[in-house]
Amino acid sequence: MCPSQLKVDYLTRVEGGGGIELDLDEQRQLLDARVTIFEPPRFFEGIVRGRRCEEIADIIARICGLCPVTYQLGTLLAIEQILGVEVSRQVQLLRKVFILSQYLGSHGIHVFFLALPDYLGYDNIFEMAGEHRDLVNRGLRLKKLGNDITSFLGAREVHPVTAVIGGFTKLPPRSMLDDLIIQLKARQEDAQAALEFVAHLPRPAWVGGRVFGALSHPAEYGLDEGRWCTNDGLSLSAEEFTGYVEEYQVPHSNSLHCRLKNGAYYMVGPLARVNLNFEQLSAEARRAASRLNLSVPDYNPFNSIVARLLEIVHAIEISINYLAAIEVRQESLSYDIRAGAAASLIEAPRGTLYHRFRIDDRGFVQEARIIPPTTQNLSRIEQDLKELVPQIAHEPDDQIARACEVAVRNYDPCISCATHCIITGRS
Amino acid sequence: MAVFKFTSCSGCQTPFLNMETEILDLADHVEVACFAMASSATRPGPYDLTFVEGGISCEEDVRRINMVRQESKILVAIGNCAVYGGPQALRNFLDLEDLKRAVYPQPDLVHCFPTCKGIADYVPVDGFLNGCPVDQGHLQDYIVSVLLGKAPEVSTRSVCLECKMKENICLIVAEGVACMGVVTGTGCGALCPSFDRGCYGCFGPSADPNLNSFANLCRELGLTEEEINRKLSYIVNNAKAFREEAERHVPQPVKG
Repeated sequence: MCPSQLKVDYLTRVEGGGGIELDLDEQRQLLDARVTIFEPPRFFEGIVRGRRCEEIADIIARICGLCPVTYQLGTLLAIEQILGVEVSRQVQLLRKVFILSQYLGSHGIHVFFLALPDYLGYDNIFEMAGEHRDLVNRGLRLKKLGNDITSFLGAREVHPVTAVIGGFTKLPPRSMLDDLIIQLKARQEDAQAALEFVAHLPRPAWVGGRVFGALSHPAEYGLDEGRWCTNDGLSLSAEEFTGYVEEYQVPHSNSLHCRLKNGAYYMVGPLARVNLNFEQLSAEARRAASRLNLSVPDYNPFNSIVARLLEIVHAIEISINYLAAIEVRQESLSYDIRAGAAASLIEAPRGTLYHRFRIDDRGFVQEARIIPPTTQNLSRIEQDLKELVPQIAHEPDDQIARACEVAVRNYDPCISCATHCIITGRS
Repeated sequence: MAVFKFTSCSGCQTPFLNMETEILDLADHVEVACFAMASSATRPGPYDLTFVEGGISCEEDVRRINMVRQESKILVAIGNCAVYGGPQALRNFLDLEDLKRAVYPQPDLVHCFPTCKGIADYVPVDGFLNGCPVDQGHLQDYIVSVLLGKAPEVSTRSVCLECKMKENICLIVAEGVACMGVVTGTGCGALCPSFDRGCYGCFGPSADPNLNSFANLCRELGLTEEEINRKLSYIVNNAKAFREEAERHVPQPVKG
């Protein structure tokens, strides 16, 4: 038998350099499916070793140009734990708004630039804007809202500069938070309309993976507090995370892969969060879900785009609530350096992001470990391809390739994130 | 127009997508012929105007950048990685093979150079837009200049000058912060000092920076030699002026 290979050389409308390889035999039976990651590794865990703990959040932010805030804040959360720094409630809330602004910006890119062209039959947003100008404008306004909040709190959209150990270099005046609330309220209708439109688009009916993981917290939609839970019963602290999740290397990828130590591949990201934390979604988001007959658990990865829009609706409403609760009192940032190690978990737009650092008594980083969401999703993505391709194997090659690309985009993979590293300090 | 990514974080192609109010107008004047992150339609070159994000860190990058150069009339390096090699160029000062062996279960599976460098180390480049990330306004100005057939203006002033024009209180004078604005090229609008933080040099060296004088200033402010080295070997670490001054402070073996 002489197997043939079907390839997507360079995935488009995803972040970073990756492709797809399918091995098929003469009867078009699928032998193997791989997501090839050829984006070169960037060794971030290695290059932050020997740096001061105050310096590394801005280096680590450069792992990802799409969600730098979650890398910065995840790093700071771990460092603050080591140093025993307790941040004020106002800083906690501003950070949550900061994270949610990345949901708006990053989901905005994914939904409108990367994914929607698939469902409306275009190659890109520019072509899509011809017939769907209103929808595209809604998307651009929502994305701009996210970017505006990110730059308002962080001074710029990409690699913002204000987040430091203990809080922000400069706190915004209360009056500007009121302006933000006005802007957020003005976009609620765009978010609802976009959600409604997308929820009604025909999507493949499909049952994918059944294991999901996300931070969960009884009082809020998991963001930067709580425990990492799966729907099959795990409930882990950040420190316990790597006791149950393992990374492994495969030859076709410069990114490591992940699985639970019981062997299960799992999904992180918007659909996982909606499934696990549905009760903590904002009132508007829950109302919209019931109006649109969206129910959980939802095992269809093609519904991830709907989950992203639900999170956009949620992010706007919750940001308004958080901002309203902030008084803005000036505070000073001071802390002492001490040795230690700690881990943090934060929900990045694409899913759970893990950081762990060990620093010495002079504040120098001795060990770093970072597990991005895309690394965790890769095995699950390949599994989706293995389950999807046999159902469409009779179709022409270009159709199969296209369907596989759409399936990969469900996870909004961020390949630069996934290839940021090698893991240092591991035995 | 084409946009290509090499070894980087995508933070310099994201600004194209962040031109929310301009992007559709821009698309009326510019054909986006190849931009993998934004479009599945990839048209073959030659391209009139090509923006490259990312540094060169492996054989495949070299092959691709030569191909991109061949297909591009105007080739512009955007951002720290394409201009200087980016934050990951910090590995140029470390031993990659040791690191790989110590870490990967199968280090042989990982193929890359011991260095990450800017694209101009490999191909001729027509324009440079600094920043980590590149500034969205600079990208727009560059595109509009090319459309109008005029030479793009790239400022060579320092952050310090821009900061004075914003009437910020000087962090060096008032708070004794070793702010790099005095040796860093402008383009950000003096962001960090405007938010009560010393500049960390993410737009790279200004034209003709006096690094020696900056190092002396750092010493006066109480920084150790090692701290001066780390300050100059940070986000933009592989720009010649920063790198050479950094090496004067903590002598360490440099590879590659």
